[in-house]
Amino acid sequence: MPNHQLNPNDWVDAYSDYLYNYTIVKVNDHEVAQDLISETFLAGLKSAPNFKGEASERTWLISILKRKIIDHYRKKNSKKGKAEVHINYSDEDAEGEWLEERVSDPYDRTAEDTMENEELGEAIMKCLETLNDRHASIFKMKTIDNFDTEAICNEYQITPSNLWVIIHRARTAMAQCLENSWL
Amino acid sequence: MSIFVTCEEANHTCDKNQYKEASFWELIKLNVHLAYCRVCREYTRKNLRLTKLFQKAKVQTMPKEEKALLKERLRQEMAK
Repeated sequence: MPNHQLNPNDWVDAYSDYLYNYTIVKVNDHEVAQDLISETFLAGLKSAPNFKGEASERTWLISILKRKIIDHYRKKNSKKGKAEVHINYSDEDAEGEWLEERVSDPYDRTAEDTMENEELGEAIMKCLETLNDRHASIFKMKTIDNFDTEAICNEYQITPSNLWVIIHRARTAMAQCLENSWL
Repeated sequence: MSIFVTCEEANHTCDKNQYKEASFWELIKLNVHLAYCRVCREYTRKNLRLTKLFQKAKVQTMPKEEKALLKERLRQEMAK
């Protein structure tokens, strides 16, 4: 079994985007996501001596983050008091209060779609980690953050043709990585 | 100016087009190329699909400033 090691110095560069994506779809709030990730890293640092090296660094950090997310929801719920269930009729003319009518809506695909997109997001982030760091940052800046070619070239001190070679390699690698399950 | 381009050029245009940076003339040349090149058709198909996946997943990155702050905080914590 490979013995994994922790390198807290690289955590932010290596995992913050992955963790951010993981969190934002679950809490839907930038500030909260930010805080949870920061707490996760600090907790990770604190319990680093207990790290046995059985799981990879990322898996280990995710397990800490999961707890933080659950704690976040617990806190939020305890502030609210008891949970309430509201049932609203979408059709005002409809009479009666039949719960059965609300049970399943075969046309409502949103929950499944959201779940599928969440999985897809995680798959993309995992594949991004297989790229070389510099290429991954450049590719993310271009594809996810939609920066201009010029801005990226300035920041990384490269020519546009360098940039496009990197983008081409990254896209080819990403397509290959996602091919089996998603493309 | 020839309307025929190499595979390399065709793929480059295809990459640029994923970011809406290919010119009209480049796109015409790409399409002419795709009409007879199966390999590049395959690349174009996958490339388009990849772009759609990114749109669908709505992946986000943590803002740069936040990363810097987080790094600093971790560094301080480790120095303790």
